[in-house]
Amino acid sequence: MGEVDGASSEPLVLAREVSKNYGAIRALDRASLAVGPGCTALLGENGAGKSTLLKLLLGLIAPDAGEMRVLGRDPAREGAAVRVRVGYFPEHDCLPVDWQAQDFVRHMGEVRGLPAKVAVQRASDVLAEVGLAEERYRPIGGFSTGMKQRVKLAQALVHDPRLVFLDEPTNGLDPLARDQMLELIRRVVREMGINILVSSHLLSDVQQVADAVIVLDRGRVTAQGSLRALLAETDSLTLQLIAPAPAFVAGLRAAGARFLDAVTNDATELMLALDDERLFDTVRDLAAETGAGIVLLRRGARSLEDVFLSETAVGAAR
Amino acid sequence: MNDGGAVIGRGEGRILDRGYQHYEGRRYGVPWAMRAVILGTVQRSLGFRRPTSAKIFPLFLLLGCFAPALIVLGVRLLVGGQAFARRSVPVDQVVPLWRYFDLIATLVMVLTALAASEALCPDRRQRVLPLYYASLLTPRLYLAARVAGVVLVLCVATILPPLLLWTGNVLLADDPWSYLAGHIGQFWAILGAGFALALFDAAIGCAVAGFSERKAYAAGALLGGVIALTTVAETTWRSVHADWSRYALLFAPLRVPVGVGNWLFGHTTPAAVAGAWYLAALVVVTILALAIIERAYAAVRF
Amino acid sequence: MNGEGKILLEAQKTARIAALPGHAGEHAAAPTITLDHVSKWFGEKVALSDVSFAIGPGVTTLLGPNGAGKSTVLKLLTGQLRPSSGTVRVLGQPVIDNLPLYRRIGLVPEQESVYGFLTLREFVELAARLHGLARPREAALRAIALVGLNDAAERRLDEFSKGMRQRAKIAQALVHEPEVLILDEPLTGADPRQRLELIALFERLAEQGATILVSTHVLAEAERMGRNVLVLVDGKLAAEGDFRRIRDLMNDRPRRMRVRCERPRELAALLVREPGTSEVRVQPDAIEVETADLRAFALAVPRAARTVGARLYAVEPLDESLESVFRYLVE
Repeated sequence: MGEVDGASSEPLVLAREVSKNYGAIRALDRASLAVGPGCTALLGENGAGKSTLLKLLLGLIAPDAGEMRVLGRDPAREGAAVRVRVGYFPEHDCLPVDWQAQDFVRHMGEVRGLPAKVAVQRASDVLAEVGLAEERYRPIGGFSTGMKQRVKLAQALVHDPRLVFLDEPTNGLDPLARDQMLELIRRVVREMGINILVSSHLLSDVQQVADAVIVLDRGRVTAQGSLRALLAETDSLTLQLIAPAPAFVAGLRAAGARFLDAVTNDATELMLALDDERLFDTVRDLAAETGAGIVLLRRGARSLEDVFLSETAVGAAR
Repeated sequence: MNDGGAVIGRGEGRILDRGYQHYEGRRYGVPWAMRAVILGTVQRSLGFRRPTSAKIFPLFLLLGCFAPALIVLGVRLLVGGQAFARRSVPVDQVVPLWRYFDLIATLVMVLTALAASEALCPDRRQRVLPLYYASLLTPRLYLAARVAGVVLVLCVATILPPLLLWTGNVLLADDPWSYLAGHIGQFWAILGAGFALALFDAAIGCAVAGFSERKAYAAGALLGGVIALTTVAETTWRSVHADWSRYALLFAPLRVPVGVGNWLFGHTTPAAVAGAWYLAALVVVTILALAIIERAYAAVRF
Repeated sequence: MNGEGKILLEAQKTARIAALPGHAGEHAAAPTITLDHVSKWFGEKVALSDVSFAIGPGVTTLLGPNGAGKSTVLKLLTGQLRPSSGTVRVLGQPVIDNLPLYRRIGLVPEQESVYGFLTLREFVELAARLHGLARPREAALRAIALVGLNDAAERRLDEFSKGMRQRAKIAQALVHEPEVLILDEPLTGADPRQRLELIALFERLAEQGATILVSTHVLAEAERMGRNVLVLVDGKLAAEGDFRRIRDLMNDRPRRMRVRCERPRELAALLVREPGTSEVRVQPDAIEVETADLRAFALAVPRAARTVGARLYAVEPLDESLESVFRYLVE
């Protein structure tokens, strides 16, 4: 169900009817999902089961029912083997302030099985990849939030995992640092060839990096698929003119175009029903003929937010 | 892509693309991961890989532990054994080895407070534990590695100094070979007593530190508790004139490992609590302390 | 500040300061928060330098990179700091040591500082009592209902998730129905649905006449919380007002447009001839154009597409958003 053309067709993560209870609370309720190559986003309300899913994925807890495979292995039984092939970027602050960045990332590499010399080399390389080449010998305590997030990413990548789990990677970042982080995430997928499962509440960020989406609601998977497929385009066309063009609007009416909003001929913002793709050409030709200037022409589309809200509808019937 | 090392001909050039490299080489298992944590614990407790200020206190403590050996041997080397002639004991008994552990017991406990709090508290406070758990290690293995690291640090203070003194005694003896043959038992006693002291202190030190996020509180609680308990125990022994009062000494954390050491050296003290009692107390407390902290860490919630 | 915008920049930036008609203080309502030539320094470090602004009822977003001085502004407004020079007035009065004024201000700070052992109701009720409200319990329950946490009212705060704790803090800040509400990253930890609900809450309160100042890093949401912004950069106010208007004022910078079409290369060849065009980038199914003359471009696109016979699927500006405004001001 991942969209990006991956090398193998076997999903990176496969869950089949996985359930997990904490006392009376059903954290996961027969959840079934598949994570493919590329960048997959995991969406859900607080309490929907995302952190439980993560713990299962890392083999820290075992499911009460159902089966799970991560990179081909059962994490409950082969937890250590799974964990050294998966990277983890926690949501919270998790870096020791009196370690040098290089030292800490190296240490994390060793703790995940890298030989000493390899760990040193890879720590240095990975820190350079995330843009901290010059700062890597400085103590982490002096880093800005953006730099700390990058160290978190470095330690998640040092052992060359096949899949990295990012939990709220843009948390606390100012807009510039956010952009840098999103760009870094795109690079991780496209240039480094590492797959990502990202969980975030900031849907605008998710929309910029994800190829596929999985939506969790109260322990169940209510939607999954490629981002493009989920954000299916709707059948409306929005137009904005640089200046009123009565001849243009009149011409549209005469051509039989259906207006979704009642407007006068000197309106500059129009919304038309897109019943037939030939409307594009009609609009183009009429604009050219009547001298109307178009600053916005856009087909209506669902936003990720719309998807999220409808798939996590409060009180929706199950 | 390119064979690094080939000489480039004239007029040729190439761009070497490092970028991100995947790793297909060897990967080690759990023992290696534990080694990494143990080594990290030992290094950071002693101030390595840290700013200079972090090295001062542990070095000072270690120096204190080595002091008796250094002083005695130093005097013997520089001035000769006759410097001790006024005392009516043989030169190698000026500081008897069984006494060594008594001398350094408090210093070792302070070093424990330092090492144990440094080993456990920062990871708790800064919430680094989830990163450790997302690796080859489980909470139990992580904890075992940390405790082992603290034990190793303490062994540096509890085994090396008396060993140094013993070695000095051997080398400075009139007939080193026969001295060695006659005192080989002491070598093993040193290892045993030193390790017992290190293990006991590490266990209770970690048991206290493992419940705190702040190094200062952990160290303070440990030292305060240990001193208070020892004081109460000894006062009980001294003031209560009953047969059972000497068993109060078994509740003195600073005395128990020393008692085990005495027993290993075959030295009896006026307190006359049989050595085996001390050993039992040491074993029980150590196991209890480790069990407590294992429970605390095994119930991981992140 | 309705529908108007101003850019105030140092000499380095090339944009001109635009004085807009009717701006100078003629608001529908009197300003509730004013900073007048405020500077604040801590020893050598100048956190704010000659900052002046006035905002009234409604939602205003405070933006700026880390270290720009946003938290200093918030602390000045809540009386935690005294300005080194200039005056800070809230509801017409200076804030420092003004106890009665604090009763009319609500603050939601960024740090997580709640007493875990209290239940939600106890926590909010405590605030109500501290404010001297006549019926603290009712006020507390009302505030809790506003943030949508009725079901959790009797649960302890240390059981709450991060998002719930945020909302608990908001409830506490609302319990005395303040006229001025100051929030520092209030949406952290909230899931998308909760975010929308909270934004709707702020808008409702604003409609009832409250002045709401939100400091946030998430521009996509700042865009939704009304259009009034204050942008701080390096301790100075870089822009204020309606961000769309601000964008329009950035007229020394060419506009970037994206055209999705058939035969992009041929279309590009025609568009590059337009005098205003400074840059054209060809992509497999689209063209990105930078132009200094938006009007000419808007007219040229349908014409050129028709000449080439290429279907025109989309025409979109790439720099309309708050994000692009922000980037321009910051870089």
